[in-house]
Amino acid sequence: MAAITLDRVGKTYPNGHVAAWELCLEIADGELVVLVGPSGSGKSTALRMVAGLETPTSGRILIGGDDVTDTPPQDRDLAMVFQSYALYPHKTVRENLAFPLRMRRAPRMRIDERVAAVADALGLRPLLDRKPAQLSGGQRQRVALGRAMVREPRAFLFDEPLSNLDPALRVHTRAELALLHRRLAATMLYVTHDQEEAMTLGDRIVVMRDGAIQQAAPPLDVYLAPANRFVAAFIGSPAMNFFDCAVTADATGARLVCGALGVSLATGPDAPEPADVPGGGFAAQPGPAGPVSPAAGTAVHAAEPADRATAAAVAARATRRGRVVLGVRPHDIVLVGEGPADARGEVAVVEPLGAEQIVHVRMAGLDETVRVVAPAERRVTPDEPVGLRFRRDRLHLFDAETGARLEA
Amino acid sequence: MRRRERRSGAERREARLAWAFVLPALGVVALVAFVPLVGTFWESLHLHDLRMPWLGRPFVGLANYAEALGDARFWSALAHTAAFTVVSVAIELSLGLALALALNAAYRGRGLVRLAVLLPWAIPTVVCALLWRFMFDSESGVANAILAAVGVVPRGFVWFIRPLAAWVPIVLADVWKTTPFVALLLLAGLQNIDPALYEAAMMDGARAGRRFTEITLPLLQPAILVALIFRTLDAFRVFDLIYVLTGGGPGTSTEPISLLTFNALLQDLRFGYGSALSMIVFLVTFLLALGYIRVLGASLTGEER
Amino acid sequence: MRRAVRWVPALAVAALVVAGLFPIYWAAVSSVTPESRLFQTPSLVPGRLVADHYRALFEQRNFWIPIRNSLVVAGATTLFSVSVGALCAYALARLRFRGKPLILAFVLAVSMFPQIAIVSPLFIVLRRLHLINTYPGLVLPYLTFAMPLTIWLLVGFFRQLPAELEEAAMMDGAGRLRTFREIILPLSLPGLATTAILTFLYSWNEFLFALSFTLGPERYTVPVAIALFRGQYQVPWGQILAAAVVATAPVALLVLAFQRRIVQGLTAGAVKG
Ligand SMILES: Nc1ncnc2c1ncn2[C@@H]1O[C@H](COP(=O)(O)OP(=O)(O)OP(=O)(O)O)[C@@H](O)[C@H]1O
Ligand SMILES: [Mg+2]
Repeated sequence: MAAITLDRVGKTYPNGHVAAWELCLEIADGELVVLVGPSGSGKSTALRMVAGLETPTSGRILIGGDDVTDTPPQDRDLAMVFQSYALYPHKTVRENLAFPLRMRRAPRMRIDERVAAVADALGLRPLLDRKPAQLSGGQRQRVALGRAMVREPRAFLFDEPLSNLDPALRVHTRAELALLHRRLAATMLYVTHDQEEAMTLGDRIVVMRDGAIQQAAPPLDVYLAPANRFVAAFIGSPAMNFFDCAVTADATGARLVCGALGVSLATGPDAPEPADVPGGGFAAQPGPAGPVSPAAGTAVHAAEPADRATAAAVAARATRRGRVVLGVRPHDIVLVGEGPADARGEVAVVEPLGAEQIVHVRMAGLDETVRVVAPAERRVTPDEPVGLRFRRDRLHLFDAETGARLEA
Repeated sequence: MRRRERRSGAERREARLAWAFVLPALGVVALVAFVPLVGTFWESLHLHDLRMPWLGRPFVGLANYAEALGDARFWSALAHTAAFTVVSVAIELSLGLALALALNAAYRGRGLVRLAVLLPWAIPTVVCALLWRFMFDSESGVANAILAAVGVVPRGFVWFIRPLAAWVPIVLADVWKTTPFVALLLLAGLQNIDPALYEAAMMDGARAGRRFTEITLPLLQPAILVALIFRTLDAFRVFDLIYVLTGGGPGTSTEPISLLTFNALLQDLRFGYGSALSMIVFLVTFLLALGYIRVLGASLTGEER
Repeated sequence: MRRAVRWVPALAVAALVVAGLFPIYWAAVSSVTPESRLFQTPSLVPGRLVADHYRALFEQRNFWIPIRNSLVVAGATTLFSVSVGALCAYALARLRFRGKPLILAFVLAVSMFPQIAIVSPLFIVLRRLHLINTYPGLVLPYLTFAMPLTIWLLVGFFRQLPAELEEAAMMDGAGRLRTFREIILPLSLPGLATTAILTFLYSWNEFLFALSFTLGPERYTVPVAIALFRGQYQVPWGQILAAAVVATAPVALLVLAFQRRIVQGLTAGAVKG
C-alpha cells in the first residue's frame, strides 16, 4: 500500500475543455478518499490520471513517493474497478481473476492459490467456470472486485462501481466495501456522484466542481462546515435552504432580513429551550437521509458564546457590503405553531417519506419554498400557517458574492 | 501551444507505438499506390512506345495530353463514361431506395432476400457480364426470346451490333449487379432511424407522405450520399463489365474511358499516351472524390471518442 | 386501397428475389444442358442434364490451373493485408497520436483510386523486376485495394469494442502489445473473419490487374481465364457457363455461410455518421 499525492495536476483535453485544474490532494497510506461531484465535474478524469489512463497536461502525480506522471498504467501497480466492470467477455471468471497475476508472471501455484482465496472471500467459487455473459449484474460486480483484489496493488481505484446495481444490492455492497477497506487497510480512491455513498464510505471526501476541488475533509466536517455555498447545496439531502439576506448591525450583533425572515445572530428570539418546541425537540429529529450528529441537541447552549462571536465577525464583515447568504438545512428547522419564530409562512406541499416528512413552506417575499424536515407524527395540512425556528448552532453564512463560508 | 511543448513521455511512447503499427501498412499502400501514381504522371510527359524501343523515351511535355484532347475517340469515350455513370447510378439509386423501403416494410423471407441481394453483388463482374451476354445472345438468349415473344424486338434481334442497343444489356447488367447492394446500404440507414420518430410524427398528425419527406428522407440523406458517391466513382471506372460484354463495340460505340486507356497501354503499348489518359481518369475521379470528402469527410474520418 | 399498399412491398420483394436469382439459376441450368439444346427455344425447366461441359472444362481446358492461381493470389493478398492492416487499424482506432484524421483520409482516398491510373508504371516496374506473370506480380498490385479495404473495415470493428476492456487490461499490468494479443484479437475474431472474407471476395473477383499483369494461361486467374475463353468456330457457351458456375461457387458458398456477417461489414463501413 502506498500514499498518493496529486501536485497541482491539471488536464486540458485536446478539444480545449479544462477537465481538471490545479488539483492538490494527499491521500495517506490506507486512507479511503471519495471523489464526489455533479456529472461532468472531472471526477473520472482525476481518477484516470491517477490510473495513468489519461496524461495530465500539468502537475505531478506521486505514488508512494515516486513520481509516476510518465509511468504507463501497467507499471503503476494499481487496481481499478470500472463502472461497466470491463470483464473480459471471452475469458471465464477464473481466467479473469487470474489475468492480473498472469501479466505479472506469477507462478502457476500462486495464481491458483490467490484465485481460490479471492473466490472464497467473494463467494465466487461456484461461478469460476462461467463466462461474464452468464452472470448477474451483482455477480459481475464481484468478479470485477475480485480481479482488483487478487494481487496486492499499491492502491485501489473505483469509478462508480456500484451505480449499475439495484438499490438494495448497492447498500449491501457498500457495506462490504467499507469492511474490505478496513480489513485490507488499503489505500483507495473512490469516485461517485452519490453523496450518500460518499458520506458513508469515505475517511475523507473531496467535493469537485468544474474540474476544481471545492473541499477536502472528513464527511461530517463537510456536512457541518461546508466550505462554500456549492458544497453546502451539494452535500446533504434534502438540499440546504438559502436566503439572500440584508444585514443590519444592531446593538448586540447583527440582524439578517430576507422577506418575512428575520434572524438576530446575537441571541436569537428568546433563545428557546429545545423542550419548548411542540412535536419534539431538536434531538428528537433523527435524520436517516442525512446523518446528523446525535449529540447535536445538547450542543445548542454550548454553542451560544461561539455564536455570539460569529455574529460579531459577520456583522463586521458583511455590513460593509450589506448582504450575506444564510444557509439552513431542512433538518435544522423546527415547525412551530404560535409563538416566537425566525420566519413565518404557509405550508405549500407535504411529501411524506415514512419516518419523516418534507414540508415545503411558502414565504412572503421569497420565490422558492423553504424545505423543512418534520417528524412524521407532526400533522401538517396545506395552507396552514406555520412558524419556522432555526437551530442556532447550525446556521451557515456565505459571502453573497464569492459564496465562500464566513467564519470567525 | 503550451500543451504542445508539454508532451509527456507516456504520450510520446504511445505515439511511437502507433507509428510502428501504422507505418508498415501505410508504407505498402504508398509503395504500391502512391509512388506508381507519380510514375504515371512522369510517364505521361514522355513519348514511350514499347513497340518502337529505338525511339527511346524522349521528354515531350504535355504533347500526350494535347493529343488526347484533340482526339474525337477520347471525347466520345469520356461521353460514354459520363452517360453510363449518370444513367446507371440514377436507376440504381431510385430503384435501390424503393427496394430498401419495401424490404424495411416486409417481414417475411429475410434470408432469401439477403441471398438474392448478396449473390449478384458477390459474383465476379466478369461472370455477371457473361451471364447477361448469354441472356441477350441472338440465338440462345432467354431475354431475347422473352422480348421477342412480347413483341418488343423482332425475332433474332442482334443487340451487340447496334451502337445504342448494345448499351441496354450493359446498363441492365450493372443495375442487376449493384442495385441490391445500394438497397442494402439504404436499408441499413433506414433501420438506424428510431421508430419512435414515426410514432411521434403520427401523433403530430403527419400522413405517410409527409412522414416520408419530413423524417425518412432527411435522416436517410447521409446513407443516400454515401451510396451515391460510392456508386458514382465505381461507375466512372467501369471496365470489366464492358470489356467482356461488348469489348467496347460495335466499333468504339460502347468504349468507356478506362477501356480506351487500357487499349492504348496494353494493346498499342503506347505507354506515354496511355499514361496521359490514366492521369485524366485519375483527375476526374479525384475531383469527384474531393467533392465526396468535402460533403462527408468530416463524419467519415471523424473521431468517435 | 390499404390492402394494395400492404401488398406492394411484398410484391417488390418477390420481384427482387426473382430478378436477383434468375440469371444465376439460368446460367446453372444452361451449364448442364447439352450444347445442341442450348440454342433451341429456352424453357425454364431443364430437360436432360449432362456434365459434359464440366468434364470438358477440367479435362480439355485445365480449368483447375486458374482456380489454383486465384486461390493462391487471393489467399496471399488476404493474409498479408489482414495481418498488416490489423495493426494499422488498431492504432487508428485506439492509440492517440497526431495525424490520425489525415491518415484515415489518405486510406479513404486510395480506396477510391481508379486502378487504371496506376497500370502503366506498375507494368513497367513489374517488368523490370521480372514479376510480370508471377504470383507476387499480382499480389502487390492487389494490395492497392485490399489494404485500404481491410484498414477501413477493421477500424470500424475495433472502435466498436469497449475502450474500458483495454484500460482494464492495462491496469491489470498488460502492455499495449499484450493487450492487443490477449484482449483485442480474440474479441475481434468475428470482425477479422468478416474482413478476411470481403478481402478475399474482392481479390477473387479482380480483373483489370490480372488481365494486365499476366501473359499466359498458366498464370491466368479465374476471371481472366473465363473472359478470354474462345472456341474454334463459335462461342462455347456451355463451357463458359460451366466455368461461370465454378467461379461463382466459392463466392456463393462464402456468402451463404456468412450472409449476416457480410451485410454487417459492408454496411458498417459505409453507413456511419
Ligand atoms: N476525451 C475527452 N475529450 C474532451 N472532453 C472530455 C473527455 N472526457 C471527458 N471530457 C469532459 O471533461 C469533463 C469531465 O469529465 P469526467 O468524465 O471527468 O466527469 P465526471 O465527473 O466523471 O462525470 P460523471 O459523473 O458524469 O461520470 C466533462 O465536461 C467531459 O465532457
Ligand atoms: Mg465519470
